Amino acid sequence: MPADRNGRLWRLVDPAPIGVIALLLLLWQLDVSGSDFVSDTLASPGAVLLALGRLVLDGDVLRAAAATLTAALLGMAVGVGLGAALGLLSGLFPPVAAAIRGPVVLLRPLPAIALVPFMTIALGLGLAMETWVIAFAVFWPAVTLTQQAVRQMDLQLLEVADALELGLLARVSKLVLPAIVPRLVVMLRFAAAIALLIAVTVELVSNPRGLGHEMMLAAEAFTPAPMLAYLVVIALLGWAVNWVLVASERRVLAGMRP
Amino acid sequence: MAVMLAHQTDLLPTGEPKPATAGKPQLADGSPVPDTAPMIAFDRVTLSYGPLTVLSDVSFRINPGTVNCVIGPSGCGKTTVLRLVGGFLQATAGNVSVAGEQRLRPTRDVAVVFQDYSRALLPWRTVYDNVSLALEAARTPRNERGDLINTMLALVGLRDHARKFPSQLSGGMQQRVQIARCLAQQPKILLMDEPFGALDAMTRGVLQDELLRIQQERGVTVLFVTHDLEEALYLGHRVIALAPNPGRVHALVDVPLPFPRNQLTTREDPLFLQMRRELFGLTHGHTV
Repeated sequence: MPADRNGRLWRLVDPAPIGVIALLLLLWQLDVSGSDFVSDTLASPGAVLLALGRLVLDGDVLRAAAATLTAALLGMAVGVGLGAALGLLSGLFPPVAAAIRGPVVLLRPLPAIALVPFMTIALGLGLAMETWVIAFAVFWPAVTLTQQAVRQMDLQLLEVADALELGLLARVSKLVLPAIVPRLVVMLRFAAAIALLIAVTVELVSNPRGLGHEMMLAAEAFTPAPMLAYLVVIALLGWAVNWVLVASERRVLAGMRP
Repeated sequence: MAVMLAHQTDLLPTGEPKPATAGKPQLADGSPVPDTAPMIAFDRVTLSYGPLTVLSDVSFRINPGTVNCVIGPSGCGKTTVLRLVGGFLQATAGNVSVAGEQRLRPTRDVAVVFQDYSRALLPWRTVYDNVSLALEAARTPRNERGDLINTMLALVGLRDHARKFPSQLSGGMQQRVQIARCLAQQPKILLMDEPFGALDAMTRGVLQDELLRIQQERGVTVLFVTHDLEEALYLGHRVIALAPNPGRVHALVDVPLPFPRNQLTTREDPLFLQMRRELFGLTHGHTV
């Protein structure tokens, strides 16, 4: 079993693409090093790395990443929490599904980012506004994916619940939730990607906090090295969040089918 | 043939079996089936979906503590009969009652053993915890569950597999888990929908004998759906033969074979063979 677990870890950290990326960066660096390279938009990988080191030492990166991550996590907690609860109810009770069909069709296509002006007026700039925009963005996929997960449950299990006269709470906690956990984890991955996307976008557009804002400041100062350093950090953050969720997904799925 | 059937069956679809004279049905201990209030009663039950009539004017009574096998060709409404008793369906006309009460919804005192055991067990729970589900549903105090679960697992011969997951068990063992969970419900009635249909012949024989032993021990009333005529005769105190298009009672046949039944001697019993021949003609004659 431990060998298997190691194998899984290796598949998560695939060395081949990392090697290709390292090679490309090296070629870029060699190309730049041979010339008098000056640019307002691009910096050499070495310069970006230096800028990144400086930002890490200053603590700027950590502060900005923490701000972005806080908003993303809070927004996910609110949006996924409410969305999954509503999805669960609408999956179990067709009348609830019928009742929310209208609002879902109407509001789901609305780009969450378009809510920024409204949320800014309502809540002002800051964490709360960003959290609610993210919550709105992840709410709809959470509703529909959870509802689908419940609908695609094996009806036989629900008949088992009927025959045992299980109450609603027991039915949900003992049968429905465990049965849809694999789909819920997939939904969570999807929501996390959206949450990060919206967080950075809100910060780029207007909110004076987090990685997006720092990157915007660097761009406005025409300092490409720190700007690209922040871009690297955002990429790494997205990768890390996905890695954590994939790892926990595998762990959950392994636990489901022992 | 008709003469032979006349004294042990009633071919009228809506009728009750005539008071038996010779070959009076016996309980597992050899005593005659008592003429008590029926455990299950169908009174002119019709079930239709729009223009499609699934069951038409079905009537029969089932005595407590007996094994009753529903047979008939596919599409004759065997499973529908079972689902009506389970409370999963409601009759369009007529009345289905269990222990004298009209059947309106599923209740814990009627347990259902589904044919597809793999879909009826919780794959994320161990054998032990799957049986526990029935006790959790019944709000049995936590400290009383252990003994009950172990008793049920012993009854189906799974004491040594309590910590395994369903996916680690053979089909026959998974079906035993489901039976153990159903017994843990402490049901009056055990509904079984072709429970051994997916199993190999040897496992099926073993489980048939275990079912009869458990039924005798617990005194539970069994309604057993099967398409296998021999299985129906082997297990049943009585066979309910249905005819299709629309589903209706074709014959109610008491099976006066002695208990305990035996895979060899019972199946070689001249009466067993004779009944098999007669019922074969009856049920298959109608499908043509």
